[in-house]
This record gives sequence, structure tokens and C-alpha cells, in this order.
Amino acid sequence: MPIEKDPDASQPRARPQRVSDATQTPQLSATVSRRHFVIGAGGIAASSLLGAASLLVNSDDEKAKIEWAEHFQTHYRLMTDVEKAEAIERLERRYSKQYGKDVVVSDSPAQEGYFSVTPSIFKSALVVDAV
Amino acid sequence: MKACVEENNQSRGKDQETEWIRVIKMEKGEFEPEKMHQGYPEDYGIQVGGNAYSAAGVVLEGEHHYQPDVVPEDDSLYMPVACMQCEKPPCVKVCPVRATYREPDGVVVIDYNWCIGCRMCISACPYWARRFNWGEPKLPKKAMNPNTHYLGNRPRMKGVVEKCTFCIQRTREGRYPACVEVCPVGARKFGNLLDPQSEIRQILDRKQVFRLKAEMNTYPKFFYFID
Repeated sequence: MPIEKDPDASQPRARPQRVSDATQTPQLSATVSRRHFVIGAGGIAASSLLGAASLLVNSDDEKAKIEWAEHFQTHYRLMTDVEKAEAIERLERRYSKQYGKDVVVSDSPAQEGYFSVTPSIFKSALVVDAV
Repeated sequence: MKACVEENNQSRGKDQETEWIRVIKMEKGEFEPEKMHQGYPEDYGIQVGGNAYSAAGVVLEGEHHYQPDVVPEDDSLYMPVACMQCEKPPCVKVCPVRATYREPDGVVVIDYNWCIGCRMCISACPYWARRFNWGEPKLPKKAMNPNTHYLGNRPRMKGVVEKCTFCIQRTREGRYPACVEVCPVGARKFGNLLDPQSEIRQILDRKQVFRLKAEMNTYPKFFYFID
């Protein structure tokens, strides 16, 4: 059976008509893809976050600054020496202010050895109210 | 317990008191050296593990809140329980964010800033050694111990877990943990397991020793000895 040639095949296909073309009104939901919407929303969120950060950096609210920095600090084991020093300095400042005395926060590393405690089961009976 | 609370900046007060050490009251006679090799307990009780299975008379969730007029009571024995710094700690295994981990010296620590407060570690610990801060800890300004360690006794915040660290802020400076230092009769010993000359190794060599719930295969580093 011979295949019939499409008479319109050589003609460029017309672009499918968009909803906005048909109605001539700006319909955001029809023209903006989900990808662009997410990118846009992410940009807005990031810019507002940066705005808040710049406000905090320039503000005099010490507590807010410390809380902000603590919120974004990483795991202790993943911190560099500089980050550890910053975190400890931040904590010392906060505790000293909160408790009204000079607080020292140490980050001394583990010593060589493997440590254990042995309580005496019978002597414990003698001192239960002392410890 | 009191020394531990004061040294480690634990919350205090009637409605929100945190204590890392629990002292379980047991019936005397249930826990005798002669019974140490008699096999598994038939009834309820603390299963002390190792070669030392013996019914202790009180379950772990039993009597650890008591205020007798005179201590010790004639018919009672007392067993202190705190974090065992296990070699295979189930609390570390279940932490979804790895906020708790073992240090090279064997101490299990918590990064309080990284803890999300899910309390999985509390559920996993067979020794009930961890505490959760349901509210903002109540630490009086006057009583606050200013010598702190990042992984130890620094003030904690609401919504994080805490526990004994063998007083990491003291032991890493060559001092004894507070509970060991204050004990007037030397009921507790602390030391390096790798040093054959250490006091703790002498005890392990010469005394009858057991580990709590040894059958859980957590390999606790908290050895109870009988003398």
C-alpha cells in the first residue's frame, strides 16, 4: 500500500497557541514553568536571608549575632582550628555575659590512654549520701 | 551525685533537676560474691552480666528515687549507674546526625550544638544514662562552674541531650572526675586501662569484677568490683 505524502510536511509547523496568546491577558501560571518559579522563589529566599544577615552584622544586638553564628556553625569534628577558636570565643563571651563571671570553654583534645571507672559495689553503700 | 551536679553545671531545682548518676537501691542478700557464678536470674532483677548473673532484687526502672532518713539502710545495697562509655555504644549508632560520638580516649561525647533533640540515643541506651533538657536548664549564676569544656560541662540549652563524660574538663587536665575525688572511702577508682601500673588495672587484675548488662555486647568501661 503506497504511503500518502503529507501535503503539509514541507511547511513549517505552526507554534501551538499559548493560553496567553488566546486570551491576550497575562496569565502567570500558564507562562512560567515550575522550574522558573522555583528558581525565582529560591532567589527571593536567598536575598531575604542575605538581607537579614547584613542587618544582623550591622546591628548592635550581640545576642542575636551570636545566636545567628551558632545556628550556622558546623559539627565540632568538621570545624577547622580557626572555626573552633571562633566558636569557643563566641561561647565564652555569651556565657560570661549570661553568668556574670569569666567562663573558660576548653577544647583540649583526648589524651593518650583509654579511661575507665571502677566503683566498688559494697563501699558505695557506705557513701551513698556523701557523693 | 551532688558533686557531679555542681561540677557539671546540671540543671537544678525542684521541677527540673538533672542528675547524671543514679544510685539504685537493692535488697541485701541478693547480691553476694558467692552468687556471682550461679547463672542467670530466675526472676526479675538486674542482670549484671558476664560471669556474674545474679538477681539484684530491683529492676533498672525500680527504686532510684528514695529519701530515707538514714543511709545506708540495713537491708539495702546501693549500685551507682551512670554513662558506661561503652566501646560499642548503641547511642552513637542510632544518632541520625552523628552529634554523639566516641573520642580517641574512649569517652562518648555530645556536640550540643549539633544535637537535634530526637532522643533516639536515650531510647537506645540500655543503662538509662542520658538525660534530655525538656526546658531551659535552670543553672543559678552563683553556682555555675566557669571551668568548662566544649564537649563536657558547658551550659546546655533546651532540647538537647546530656550525660556523664567522666568529667572531661578535669580528666584532660590530669585530674580525677568529681565523683572519684569527693568519695571519702575511695569507692570509685579512675584510670588508664592501657597502663599496667594504673590503679584501675590493679583492681581488674586482683578483684572480682563485673560489667552491668554485659550480655548486651556494649562493652561498657564501667567495672563494678567487689571487695
